[in-house]
Amino acid sequence: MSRTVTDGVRGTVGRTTFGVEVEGSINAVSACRDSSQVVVAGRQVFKIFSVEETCFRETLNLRVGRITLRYSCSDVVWHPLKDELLATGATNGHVCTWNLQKHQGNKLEQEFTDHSRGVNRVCFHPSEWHILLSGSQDGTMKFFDLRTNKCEATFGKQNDSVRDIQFSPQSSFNFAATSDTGGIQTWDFRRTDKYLLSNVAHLGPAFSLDWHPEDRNLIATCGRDKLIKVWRLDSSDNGMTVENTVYCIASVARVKWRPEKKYYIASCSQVVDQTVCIWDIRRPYMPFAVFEEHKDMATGVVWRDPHVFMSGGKDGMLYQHIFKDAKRPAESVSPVGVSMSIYGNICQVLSKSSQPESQQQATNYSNTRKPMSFRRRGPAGVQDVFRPYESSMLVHNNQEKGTFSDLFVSCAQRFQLTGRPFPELCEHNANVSQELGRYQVAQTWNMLKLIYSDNPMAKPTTAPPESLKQTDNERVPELSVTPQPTDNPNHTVESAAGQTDDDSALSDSELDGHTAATLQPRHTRDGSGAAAADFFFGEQVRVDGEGEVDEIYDEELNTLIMDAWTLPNEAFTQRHEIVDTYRPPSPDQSQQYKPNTVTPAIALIDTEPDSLGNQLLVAPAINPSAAKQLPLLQLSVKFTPIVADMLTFYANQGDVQMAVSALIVLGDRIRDKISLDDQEQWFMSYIDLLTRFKLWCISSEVTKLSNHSNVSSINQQSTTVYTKCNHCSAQLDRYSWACQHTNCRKLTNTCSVCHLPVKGLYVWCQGCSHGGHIQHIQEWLQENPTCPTGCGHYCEYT
Amino acid sequence: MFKVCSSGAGTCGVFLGQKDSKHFCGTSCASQAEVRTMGKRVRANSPLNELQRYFFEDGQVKTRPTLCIRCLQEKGVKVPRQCGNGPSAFIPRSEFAAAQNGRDEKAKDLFIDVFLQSNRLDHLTTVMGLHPSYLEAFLRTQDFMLRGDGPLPFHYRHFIAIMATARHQCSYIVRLQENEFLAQGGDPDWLRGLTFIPDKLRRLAELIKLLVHQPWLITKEHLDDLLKGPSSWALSELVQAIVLTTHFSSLAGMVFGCGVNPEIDMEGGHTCRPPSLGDDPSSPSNNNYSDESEGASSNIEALMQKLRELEEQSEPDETQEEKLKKFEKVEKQNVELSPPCDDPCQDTSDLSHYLIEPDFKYKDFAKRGEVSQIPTFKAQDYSWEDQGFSLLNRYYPDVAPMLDDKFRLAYSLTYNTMGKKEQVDTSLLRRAIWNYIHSLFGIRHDDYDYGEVNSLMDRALKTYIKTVCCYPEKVTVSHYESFWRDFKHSEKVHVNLMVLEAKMQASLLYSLRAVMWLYTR
Repeated sequence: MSRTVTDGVRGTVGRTTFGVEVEGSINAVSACRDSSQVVVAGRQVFKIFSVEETCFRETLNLRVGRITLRYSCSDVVWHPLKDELLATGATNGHVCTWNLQKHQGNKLEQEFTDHSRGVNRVCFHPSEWHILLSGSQDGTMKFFDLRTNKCEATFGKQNDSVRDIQFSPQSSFNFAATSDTGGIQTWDFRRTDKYLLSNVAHLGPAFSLDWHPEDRNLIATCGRDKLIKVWRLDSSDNGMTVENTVYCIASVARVKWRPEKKYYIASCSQVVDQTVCIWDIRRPYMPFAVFEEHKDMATGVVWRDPHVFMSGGKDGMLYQHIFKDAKRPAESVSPVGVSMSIYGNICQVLSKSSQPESQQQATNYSNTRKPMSFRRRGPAGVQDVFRPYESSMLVHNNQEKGTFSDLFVSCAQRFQLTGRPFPELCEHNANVSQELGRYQVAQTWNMLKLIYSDNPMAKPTTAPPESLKQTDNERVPELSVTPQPTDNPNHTVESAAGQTDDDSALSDSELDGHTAATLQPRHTRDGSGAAAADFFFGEQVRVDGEGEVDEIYDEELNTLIMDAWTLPNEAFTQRHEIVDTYRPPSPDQSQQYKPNTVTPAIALIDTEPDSLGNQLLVAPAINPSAAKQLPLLQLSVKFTPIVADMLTFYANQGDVQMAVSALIVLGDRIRDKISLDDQEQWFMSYIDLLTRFKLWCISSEVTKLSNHSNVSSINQQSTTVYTKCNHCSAQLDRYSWACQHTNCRKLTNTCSVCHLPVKGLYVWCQGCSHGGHIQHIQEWLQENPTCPTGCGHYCEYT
Repeated sequence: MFKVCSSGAGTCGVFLGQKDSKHFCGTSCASQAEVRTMGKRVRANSPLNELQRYFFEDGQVKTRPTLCIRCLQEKGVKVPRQCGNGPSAFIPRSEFAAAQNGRDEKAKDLFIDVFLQSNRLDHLTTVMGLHPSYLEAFLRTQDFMLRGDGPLPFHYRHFIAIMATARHQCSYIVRLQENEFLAQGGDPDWLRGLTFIPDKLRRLAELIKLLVHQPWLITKEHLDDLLKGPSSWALSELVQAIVLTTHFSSLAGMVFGCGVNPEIDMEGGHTCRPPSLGDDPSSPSNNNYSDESEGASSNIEALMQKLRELEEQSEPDETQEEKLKKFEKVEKQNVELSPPCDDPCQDTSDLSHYLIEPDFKYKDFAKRGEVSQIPTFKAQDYSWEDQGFSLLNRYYPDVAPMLDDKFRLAYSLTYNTMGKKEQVDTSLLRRAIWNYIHSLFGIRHDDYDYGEVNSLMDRALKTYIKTVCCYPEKVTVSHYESFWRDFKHSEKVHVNLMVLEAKMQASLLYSLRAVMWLYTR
């Protein structure tokens, strides 16, 4: 009958980890007084093993005879005094006692059927042999007298299942119980009507409790809320307070204090975590030792001595664990922490042992502060094998100036994204970047201004008056740095001042070769000023449908695109004429204008905002923006893909600030060229960065300007404003005009004129804080100078 | 073009629609009237513009929409009206008057919330409103599942709800969820059927099939399979999908069990025929119901007598084998209550495009005279309170406490009444019903004497419960009327709530046990 299975023999003889398979999941284990024998019980198993040097030896199988539900044990307990006596609680509500000295096969001595639902726990009195307590799902605790073999007393009310019940090891009359609703109660054994103390210990069921073996006022409880709590019973004022709380990773099914170690407690969990953990209750987040032998949830723990314990699990294994084989999570944790602030400062925390080598590491962060040392010792008087923890914290200040964070913050603060005409924004931002030494960004802004802004003369500040035209023309050769080898003096009349400005700007900014290349051939091919002039006036003619000009246009198409947008000054005198005859472009027409277009211009024409740089347009009857920007479009259309690429480049480089700022400033010019996902990502990361630097206003502004549905929805999150009743201060959650609170049920401020609740706008006097419906107040104050309530305040409606 | 519904005494909703381009509703509580004018401006002289004149006054909805409707009718416009009478085909409308007239404050507040959230007060909510405390927990849970935090995208959630309820042929929920699905930006193509949905969702169909009909067949392999390979599921997503499936498949039982009428904007929910004089204003069930109530109150007496006996009775001196046999007997009897009939489902709308293997249905857990291959699920070994809750809380946080509340409420709900009797302790009866439902799914409670099931529940009740639980699409008025003839309607609704919750708990337990097995076996 007896069968021995051993495995995992490790360490020295006498104290080894070993286990045995018991054929069925174990719900509970218990050991006899001297821990030489252990009983395991479960739904399909009820056996006694004797604990040998290196193995468990099965000595008795109690699951014999007719197998009934009484063998389906949820708990088992060995009598603390009598080695032959056992008690079990069954899932069907029966409490059984077993006498091992019985000679026939079935050792069942008594069966109590008083509980109507499953029994969760049974327990013997530590010193009075005949007292057996049980706690059941039906909400009652019963006291069975083993002398009379009857239920002598019933404790507890009906509707709160009892999860655990334990006698106090010191005081002979007290016991404690935990319940399904998370409560813990202590009872006096002699009083069946009322508990001594009661407290809500856990959220959800409190699965188990254990009295401290030495300190009579300490109880540990554990529950579904993943906590182990240590309670101190205060006998003086009849209260109980939490002393320690341990945070586990899963709901805790059993707790058991480690004998002779004041602060140590063993726990096993209900789900997920299959280990048996030993906690130092002063260290709440990391178990002191972990035993990982079980393959399924461990269900019961019995200590043999402070260094050896036995556990059973749902995987049907009974193990003896010794501390030498435990895992110590704390030791494998590297006691080092590093954190970096957004301003580039680094904080580093090390334990003393690992400090020397890490200090050798030279970084470009200079250590500007003295290392701080922290030291933690165990409380005096506690004998511990562990040395005190000691660690130091080093703060390295970043001394590099002009780092990313500084630039980022000042850019974010000084960039202007809206509120001024496009060219001015670009110029401003370019200047800002220039000042901060970000030359590339500055150039980019300048380029953007050139590419997208309207004719520079459109800006009153830069557009030279007509009278100055001549001088401008003269200035052209000097100003334009672009080599113009075959430059004909004639040509300048048309290309005029605006052109020269732009040319110089372009070359100043060392625009990529592309622009320069397109510029140069124009001058060479352009040859005669007449051709250019024709082209210009041709615009007017072309609209009228003259074929001849089309020819010219076609000829020069390849190179003239740059030219096309620089409307010369003379144009102003003729503007009305031009635009008078001009109709908004039909799709065919616009097609005609840009034979080598990359993308359809119609969309751009439609979306081009009127507000930018068009101040001088004076013909309201026609479609000025389209007429004016048509040439401009051709340029921007050509460059749009490049600009899009450029923004992507900035974003990929990590400079989402530039990408987003440009995106906002460019607005509709570029928006549909960049995928919405990219835009969202840029916006989100820029906003994220801004929040990290606590630039809330700017981040909110960016959100507002984003014009992207997902991004702007940020500003609509958590926008609830909570209001409270002015009578009882209860929160108004449903209506703003009536208090729902049971004791109050009043209307909040009513209209001072009509005394009815105000459900829309409430106008308020800042002086006397009376008010009401906006119309009523308006009417009232037209006739009366004072407040409608009669408070005497001279309200004023403005 | 437009639909008008006046459901209940006080509530009146108006739906105007050119595909939702115009949509406004008014309620009796005019303060709460939410006026929504969405979409394009109405062109001048269009009929809608004229309508607007009727319904609006200075931009406000007129307080008397019924008047407006009458105006329209006089103009010769066909105004559709609700087909069914009240929210439920089984329960007379008068039962719901308390909540709708505002006499039941809590229910009224909940109804207002529902209306504000979904722009309608659906019939299902109205029926549940008979138990406001439960309704509150129910709405909170459902709202969290569909709109709260969770790993699944919103449109996925609604589609899973569609897939789960379609298995029970419950077009009522399917239509509601289809609307929600589209409102969440779901791809309308998906509604054409399972072949148009992403692989990931399609792979779920098999699990849903099992969960809805025979949850005990779920093994860890089913889950393991979904967690691997291309378009695999994350475990937390899967757990949420499981919760959604169990919730909605049980809800389908409630819809059929209470005979919830289709909404006015659903197919079969409205008619333009003017109410003829022959139409009886009170529902048929009401008539014969009241007739028999006097004579049959003896039934309640008998039941109460049994309850008393059971309470006083000391523990019967019977062996455990006898108890086991009793459980088996109950299980066997379950089998005898065969699927009521092979009548085609009442609901004729075609939902087969959402299904795989439409013939897969509930099969009795224990076959007559056969030894079941699948062992009985022992409630003590894997209970909701201990293991289920914690596991669910780990993979789908926050929902577990809500479900816990909901289970507890449904289980412990009592007004201490039974029909006209008052001060009755119904706990034994409730426990019998709960455990009986669990036994339909092969879950056994060790500490329960299944003899009580037989003594407390008559055959009609068992038939009804089994039908609602396992073949909800086959519930008929006669099922509903044949059990507990002299009990209140609200008590019958409570039975439905218990079916809903016990069934959900059973399927959840099976699937969560499989989730646990992923790590322990």
